[in-house]
Amino acid sequence: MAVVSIKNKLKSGSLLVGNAAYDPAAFVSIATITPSGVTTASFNSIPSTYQHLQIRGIYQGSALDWLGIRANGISTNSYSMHRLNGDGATATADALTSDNRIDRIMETPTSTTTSVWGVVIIDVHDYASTTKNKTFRIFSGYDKNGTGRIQLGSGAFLSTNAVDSITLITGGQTFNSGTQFALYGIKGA
Amino acid sequence: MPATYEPIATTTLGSNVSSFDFTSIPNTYTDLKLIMVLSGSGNGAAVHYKFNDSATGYSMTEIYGDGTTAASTRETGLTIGRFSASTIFSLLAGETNRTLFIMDVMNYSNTSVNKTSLVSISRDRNGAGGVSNSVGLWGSTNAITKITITTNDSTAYFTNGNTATLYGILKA
Repeated sequence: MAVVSIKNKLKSGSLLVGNAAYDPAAFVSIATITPSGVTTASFNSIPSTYQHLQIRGIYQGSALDWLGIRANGISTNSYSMHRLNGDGATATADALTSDNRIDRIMETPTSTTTSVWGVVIIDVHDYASTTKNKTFRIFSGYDKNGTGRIQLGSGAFLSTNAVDSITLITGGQTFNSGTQFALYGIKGA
Repeated sequence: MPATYEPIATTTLGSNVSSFDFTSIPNTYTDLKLIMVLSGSGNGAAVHYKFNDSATGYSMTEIYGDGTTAASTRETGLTIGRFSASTIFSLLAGETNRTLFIMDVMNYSNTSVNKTSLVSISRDRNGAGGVSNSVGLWGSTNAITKITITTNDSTAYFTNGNTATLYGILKA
């Protein structure tokens, strides 16, 4: 069996004939960041060797705020988004165009205790393609047993450049300690 | 050391049951992902969950669509977790179409945070059905070691042959 990669080998053992086959993982943990007291959190130097990326995280802020996404450090009007939003009473849909970030698809809850955290799963398919603009799928929400928000959104990074960095940026508030985002790479066949 | 994305357990129901469990969940992952393909019978009974047999601290905020209307709803102060507040996804007598449930429980073993989950539900019956996304809170900082999926109704059951798989996801 061809060995795709042993860089992230997760199992011990020999690759010699007769031993158990090595099965390189398709879903690989790349990095974890834990921002605290800052307004941005970045994954940098993302390798181009995966097919897709996924970010999974929990977050909390010093104030109620929107969390945006930028790619490759680009802060010009190179982004747009569409979202479905539910606040527990009303379902709405809206969009933003020509924005300086993919915005308003993650709301940061605040909490004076350890209680409530926003959660998010972000998918970026074909992030390393140099022929396609990049689409982000964002699924986020928080619930505070009486308030909260659930959102499903799509965001576009209007560039065919491969994505080699992703920044999560607040609207001005800072991340609370305990916030963490984990980046995963998903391999193609 | 566990792999990054690893199956922990798969349940295939061998009979009609009103509940089933995932027990002894190791605390070695970061997130849990539960994928279920369910059908059942119960004349409107909803699909529920519990963590660690807890009967307190559940709430949720949901957005869903039924093919005609989009709506958002909220439930608070529950004694059991609900995947959806909408009757779109309730168990129906003689139902043969299966419903897909995907639940991501984030930081499930982190004892510094209450537990928040993201849930997606998909059901289509060629003329009825719906799609739902929700966020659920379990107001406990305890690590989750057990998940119970239940109809919470002794007259309602999940059908023999239904499957559910629990995965663990580990960050760097």
